[in-house]
Formats: sequence, C-alpha cells, structure tokens
Amino acid sequence: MECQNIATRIRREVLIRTAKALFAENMEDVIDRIPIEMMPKTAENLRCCIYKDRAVVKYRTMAALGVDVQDEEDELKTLASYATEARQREKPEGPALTVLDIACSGCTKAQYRITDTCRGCLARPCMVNCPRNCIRMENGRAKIDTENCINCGKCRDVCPYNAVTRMPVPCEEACPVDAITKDENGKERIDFEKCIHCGRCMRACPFGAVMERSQIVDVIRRLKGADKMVAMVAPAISGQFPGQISQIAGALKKLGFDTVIEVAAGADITAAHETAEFLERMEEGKKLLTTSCCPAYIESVRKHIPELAPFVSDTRTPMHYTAKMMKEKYPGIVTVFIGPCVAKRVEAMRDEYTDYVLTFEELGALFVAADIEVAVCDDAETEQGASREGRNFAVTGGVADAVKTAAGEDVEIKPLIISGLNRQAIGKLRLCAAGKFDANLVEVMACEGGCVAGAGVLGAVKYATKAVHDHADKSLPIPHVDPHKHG
Amino acid sequence: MEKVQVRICMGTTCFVMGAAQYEGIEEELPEDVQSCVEILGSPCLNLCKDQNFGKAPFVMMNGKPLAGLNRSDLIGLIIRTARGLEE
Repeated sequence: MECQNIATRIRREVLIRTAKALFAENMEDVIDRIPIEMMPKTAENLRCCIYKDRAVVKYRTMAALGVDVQDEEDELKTLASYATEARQREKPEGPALTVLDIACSGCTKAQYRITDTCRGCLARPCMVNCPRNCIRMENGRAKIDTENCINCGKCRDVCPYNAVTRMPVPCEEACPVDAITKDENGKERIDFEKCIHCGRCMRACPFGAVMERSQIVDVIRRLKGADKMVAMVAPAISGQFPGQISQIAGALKKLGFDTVIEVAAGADITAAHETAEFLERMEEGKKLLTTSCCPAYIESVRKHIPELAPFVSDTRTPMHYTAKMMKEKYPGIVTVFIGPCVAKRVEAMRDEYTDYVLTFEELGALFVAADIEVAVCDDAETEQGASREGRNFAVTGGVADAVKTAAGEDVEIKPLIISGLNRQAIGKLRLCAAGKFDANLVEVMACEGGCVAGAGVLGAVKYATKAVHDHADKSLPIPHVDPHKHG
Repeated sequence: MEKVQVRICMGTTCFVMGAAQYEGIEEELPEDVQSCVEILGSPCLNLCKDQNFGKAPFVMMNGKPLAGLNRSDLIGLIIRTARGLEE
C-alpha cells in the first residue's frame, strides 16, 4: 500500500516493534512496552487521549501476533501471554482479517448531508428535484429528512453551491461483495461467508481498524528452529526493496532462509498448463477460459459468481507449483511465500505445500528488526530463473500475455483484462459468464494494476511496475506449448 | 549557484517506512528546479537508531535532517528550497 497516511505508518511501526520483540531473548519483558514506547506521555495524541492510543496499539500488536482480536476474553491478558501462546501454534488458521472494535470509529450510515455552504436560495432545486420530498427549509437552510432519504444524490447534483455532501462508510464502500457491515453497536463486522480477502476494507478504513492477522510469529519461530527454510518471492518483489533480486536474496539468507526461489518459476508452470487448458477447451468448443492465479478472484467466483465457475481454469497457482517443486526437491523444507497479497494467506491454508505467507511489508519489518541493510547485502543465488512472461505475472495483463506467447501467433486469443475487482468488475464478470463479451480469455486481478498494487506492497505502483518489467526483460520468452504434451 | 543537495536514506527502515514512495520524484520537479537540485540515494544515514523507527523515512536536505515526509511534502519542500523560499 502506498505509505501516504499515518495509519499505514503506525501499522508498519507495530510490525517492526513486534518483530524486534520476537527476535529478542527477553521477549516477555519488552513486548508489553510497545504501546507505551510508541505512544509516550510526551507524544501528541491521535485520538481522544494517550490511553486510547495505547489501547489501540495493543490491539494492533495482537493482530501482528496473528491473534483474532474478536476472540479477546480477558482485557488484562498481556501481550507477552498472547505472544507465548502464538509461539505454540503449529499453523495459522481462520480468517486473515480482523476488525479492531476500539479503533473502529463506527461511522454513521452512509448519507447525504447539507453543509453550511447552503444559502437557502430561492430556486431550491434540491427540494424541487427530490423524488421523496424529504428536503425542507429550517432556519434558512435546507435539511434532509434522513429517515425518508433514499440516498439517490439528486440534491447534490443540482445544488449550485455544492452544499450537499455525501458521507460514506469507507470500508463498506470499498468492499465489492458487501461482506463488511455494522453490528448492533454500529461497529463494523466482516462476514467471512462472503469475504474474499481482497483487503480493500483494510486500505480504505481511515482509522486503520481492519488489520491482517500476521504470521511473523510463526516465521520467526521457524527461522530460529533447525528446519530448512525456503523464501518463495512473488514476481511483484522487484522494486519493493532497494537493490536487485539477487541482493534481496542475500538479505533473505542473512535473515535465516536457506534458499530463495522466484515464484515466477512456478508462474512458468502455471502459464504452460493454462495455455494447454485454453487450447483444449477451445477445441472442445467452450466459449472462454478465465485465469485462476488471483486468490481473491477465485474466492469471489466461489462465493458470489458461481455461474462463472465452469469457465475458470483448473490450473493451480504459481505459489502452489513453486512450493510443490521445493518440497519435492528438499523433503521437509518449510515453505514461506512472500508477496503483496492478503488473499494468499487463505489460499496457503488450503494448499498442502505452502506453510506460511508474509507480505512485503512484514518482510520489511523483519529486515528492520534483524538490522539487515538490504542495500548493502551481497548478491546471493536463487534456485532458478524464470521466463520473461513468468516474471511479468505481477502486472495486469501479464498472465494473458503469457498464455498468448505460449500459445503462439496462430491461435486466436481475444483477451478481456479485469484490473481491479470492484463492484462494476463483478457485474462485468457476471455478464462474461452469460457470454455477453467477445472474449475467450479473461484475466482477472483483484488489485488495480495487478499484484504490484497489492495491499502488502511498499513501493509506488508506477515504479514497482517498471522494476518488474526491467527484471523480466532480462530473461527469455516463455517457450511455446504443445497442447498434446500437457494434460 | 550551489545546488540543493537532497540525500534520500535508502536504509531498510526508511525504505519500509515510506522512502520507497520517493522513487522518481525528480521527474515531478518543474524544469527550473530540476537543474538546481541534486537528488541521490544514500546508504543508511543512521538517523533511525535509538528506536526512532516511527519518525522514518529520513532525508537530508543541505545537511539538515528531515523526518517522516510523504512524497508530496518532500517535493514541495525541494521546490521551495530551490527557489530560495525556504532556508
């Protein structure tokens, strides 16, 4: 996410301090000090008082420890005991997002309001054009009767003074599938039967009240242990840290990983399978194939667009193939996917080969906590390279391009690229299933611009995109696929 | 005239806390400013030590440390400094 706001900075600082505490010998002594150290007496308070600021930081630290904040039973339970418990869990499970009630401001229901820019004019277009007649004049100013207002926005469109404003509920507006709504106390709740883990609510909340349940505890515990570990870095990693991938690999080895592999290698396998599948389905007379590597998109089909399911590729994701490759090459190795994605956590919990997931933001926190200067790290080898197209999977259009290149010029491919899974895109996908578009290959990425714009990124999207392309341009194009050789 | 010296800390802390967002700022400077500014990345400037993570990212402008600026603030400050509107 672009670090242009205080909520993001605070979240990152919490991750850094939590990681530092987890690396320390005396974790129990330092972890409960995090709220006080981040919000010292001398600091300017961000909310009503310093004590609330500290309480919110405590809950943020709980989320950083992977705790579902909603499960809290005893408010006096210390961070040290949460951390001790977190160290004992074998595998992370359950939803990847958690709402911090105390941080949630309980925004008023989305509504239109007349501001004091209203001049109480003679024309009164707001009153005249309101389809529900719910605007009246009070003390020389227009007033909306919120009980009867249907939020159509006509009054805003016609006011010559721009006096009508719409107050949104940012998380609810951002959610493309109506999974986040208010409970009886006005606080937001995520319905995980509906949630696709795209992470939009988390980015949208101006109070930072939605947080990911991090797996840094699990990864740090395993790094301290004896098992071999592999860092599987998503293609979007270019541009997320200073230096080239070889230097990032050096930094990862310094952190304690035994080996590093670009997930782009798995993307090559995905592209080859998907191309063979595409050719096969077209031969069978099917109308279209959609990509399958974006886990938030796959969840959205499963939960909200079932009519599209028959058209989704059966090919597994680059993460899956990469992890499988590593587990087969090094039996017993612990696999950690490092990427920009919230939804990957949920995919990994179901994937038999991927053990843990970190975001770039969390990896950054681990580097800071372990005092690793990426910019001055020595280059290190990665397991293997990847094709140009495999490395471009991180950018919108990349997957469709890979299939196009692998299929060869003789195959007619009419791609439809969905970049960003918002409400309109979901509508568009429904139309796709109904055959309303002249396209036979549909690529969907839940984040606008592709994985380079994921919720867990550090770099600016424009420059991260360029870095991904620069890295990709160093490698050879993906080879052609002979459909009869793949299953 | 001496150029305005901008040193962007590329240490891990600064990068994670927001310096990653400074990428390409020179392209956004007006032409008159571009010619009188020198922007360089720097290895860790050691300003984040003493648990000062929260104040990162750090930038040195003409030898003066600046903390926690977002992209547009930094661009604005560079422009004002180059035009002599700011010390």
